[in-house]
Amino acid sequence: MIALILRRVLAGVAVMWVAATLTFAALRGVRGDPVAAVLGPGALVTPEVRAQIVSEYGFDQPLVVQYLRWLSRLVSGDLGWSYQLGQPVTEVLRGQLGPTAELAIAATITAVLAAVVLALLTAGRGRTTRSLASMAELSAVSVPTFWLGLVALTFFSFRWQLFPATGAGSLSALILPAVVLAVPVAGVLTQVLREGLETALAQPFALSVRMRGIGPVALIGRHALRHACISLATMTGWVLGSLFGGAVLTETVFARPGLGRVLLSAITSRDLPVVTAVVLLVAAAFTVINLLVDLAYLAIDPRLRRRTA
Amino acid sequence: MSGRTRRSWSPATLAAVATLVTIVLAAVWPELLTHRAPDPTDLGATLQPPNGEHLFGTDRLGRDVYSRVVHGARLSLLIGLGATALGLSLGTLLGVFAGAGGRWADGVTMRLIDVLFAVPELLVALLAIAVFGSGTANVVIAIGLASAPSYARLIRSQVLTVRESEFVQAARTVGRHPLHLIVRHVMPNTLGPVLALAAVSAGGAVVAGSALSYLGLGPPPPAPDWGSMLADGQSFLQTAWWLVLFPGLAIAAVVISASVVGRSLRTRST
Repeated sequence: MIALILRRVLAGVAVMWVAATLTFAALRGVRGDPVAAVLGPGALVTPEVRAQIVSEYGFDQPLVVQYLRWLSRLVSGDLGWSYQLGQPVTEVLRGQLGPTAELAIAATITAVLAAVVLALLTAGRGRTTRSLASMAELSAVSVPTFWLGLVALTFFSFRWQLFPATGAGSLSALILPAVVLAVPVAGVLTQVLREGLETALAQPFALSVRMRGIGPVALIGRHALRHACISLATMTGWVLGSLFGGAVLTETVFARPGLGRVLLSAITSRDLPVVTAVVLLVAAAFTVINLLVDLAYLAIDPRLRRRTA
Repeated sequence: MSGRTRRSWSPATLAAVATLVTIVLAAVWPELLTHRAPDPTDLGATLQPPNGEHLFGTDRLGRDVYSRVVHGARLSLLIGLGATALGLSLGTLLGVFAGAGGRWADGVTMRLIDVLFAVPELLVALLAIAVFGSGTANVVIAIGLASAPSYARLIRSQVLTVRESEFVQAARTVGRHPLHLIVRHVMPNTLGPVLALAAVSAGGAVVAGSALSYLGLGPPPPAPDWGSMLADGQSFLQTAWWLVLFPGLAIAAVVISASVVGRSLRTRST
């Protein structure tokens, strides 16, 4: 068990290391002038300042030395300096982490609640219900998040004035973006959860629970749903990706502060230290959350433990 | 796909195919669907709601939204299909390399793919834009790169299955060159599921492309493009709902149809 956990943690560290290396390669391999990468394109510098930057960042050193130095800075938590905003990248990110996390968590809760309700309503129903549900799920997954956001703004904020159109900080400003971000996730989760429920209900244990005189509601609520939830775990990676990708767009549509907005403005101004930091941060969050989910399921489902031991 | 599958197409699939055909037609031959050019401005008729003259209304410069949506199909499809082609080629290279290249090739490639999977696709695309810069060609490259890992993973698993099958064993016994085996026997037999994935992802690539141009990283104005039309329309949400409704419906129509077609390809190929 401990060996298994250790192995997963090591794999996670390896993933992070490769991600960092790839980012380093992308930055140094493609960009021509490293000084321009620090100062931003088009910055005019005197030769003295230039020389100072070169020696400070070690651009005169061999690439291997630069790489190792960069890596050790990363490990110590130093993500570099944002030339666009003129402050350390860690400072830039610290302020933006909150709003994005808030949005992502609210969207996850919304999506999971919606998926559970919809899956319970549609599992094991007739053909018409199922094909309607599957059409609705397909649309939910397919419709572009940012367009949905714009349409929601048009009606709910401007026409009916139910929610504020921009900003963050209040609950009412969170509702629209969270729901919009949750729609595609809910679409996929409903599908997965319904299939999980139907599989669970078809298993022998479902029949034996019924034979003990337990009603269908208790059977689904107390037994089948738990089994079905395990199938949700396999979706964690996809959900996280969809949430973060969606967050970039949702934050832009609703003019919310957050990591996505910072990333976007860093890309347009070619503020590469910030771009790198956000990519690495997301990869790290991804790895850690996947690890936690893996471990949680080892704890929940004894069958997995035996199989991998 | 061949004579042995005689199941009829469902109405949903037929509708999806019809939608895709219409949109491809708009991309190839827009003049067939509209006689108006997308670019001429008419400052006497700005921000008009949909009417008999302008089916989808006009934008802030008096350009006809319907005509721009029709003409926008070309760029959107080019980006979507270009990115799919690039992702598919890269994914095939990686997947075949991993699946047929032995243990070390497989291990290294799969770890690399695991890493790429740890970063959301849109983020990979944004990173690529940060490195290469914005613009139509770079959007294609960015989305293609971002979608390559999922193709690679599918193709690898397909290759692993097919290479152990009896007809491949037989061809190997006859003494065929490994490359011949891959090109002639393994790849054609992985085609079905790969095409199904490509159909779904092509729709996804159209959305990703329009997302990037919505963010202002795509084709520069005044090119008619669904994503940039949405970005333009955002300033007029209060007054001119038609500016965001119609381009978005076009994107949604492409994605939903592509998914429906992809799904039915998948059920046919398995």
